[in-house]
Amino acid sequence: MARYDRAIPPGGTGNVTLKIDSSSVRGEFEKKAIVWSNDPDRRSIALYLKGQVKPHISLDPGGYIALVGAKGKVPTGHVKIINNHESPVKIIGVDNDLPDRVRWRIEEIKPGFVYRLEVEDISKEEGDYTAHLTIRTDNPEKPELTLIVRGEIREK
Amino acid sequence: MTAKHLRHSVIFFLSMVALACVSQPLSKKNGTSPMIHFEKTTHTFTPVFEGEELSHTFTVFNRGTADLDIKKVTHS
Repeated sequence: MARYDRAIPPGGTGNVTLKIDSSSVRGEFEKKAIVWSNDPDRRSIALYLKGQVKPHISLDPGGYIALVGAKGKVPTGHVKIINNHESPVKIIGVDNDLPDRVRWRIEEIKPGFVYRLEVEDISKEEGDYTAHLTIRTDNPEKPELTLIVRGEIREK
Repeated sequence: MTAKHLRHSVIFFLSMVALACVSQPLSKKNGTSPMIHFEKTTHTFTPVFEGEELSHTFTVFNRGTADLDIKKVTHS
């Protein structure tokens, strides 16, 4: 989004204000805006905004786990929940939408900052499924994170 | 060169001169012209958390002798 002064007298100055909503940006970014004017020798000039947007809480290596294998022998999966703030965060609960398929366990690695969430397949039958674990936190900026668990379970 | 060729050449030359005059900006015709200038064209923010609004104001100078009109600002 841009706001700008439309007319600037000779010898004068004006402002061009650029805004970025960081909720739609992740990691390092570079945004470009082009200013178009009536300067006959320089009709357009590019302006650049650079920076880095950090997640409040991140899942490492990501928000997805695959549990693949024969029934009863599926290796467990895990992610780390990492608090990127300087003040600690509490995990206040995990909601599981497929409790017949998936069981979870959480362990504090670095209290308030790093947790390990282990996910285990407990299917009684073969088949594919997608489960969602909703991790609830006490951080008002990031009250929930979702971990998607994809299962592919074969007969023994 | 025949008179006919000479007449065509003169007409062509005058047409080109007229076209050049029309295509020149009005301000240049008057001897004045805006000149846009930014001292900085890049800004780097300090790292922020997701959801924060990022805003920066660039200062634009008119170093010319006619009004500078900013027509639009586009994003890419």
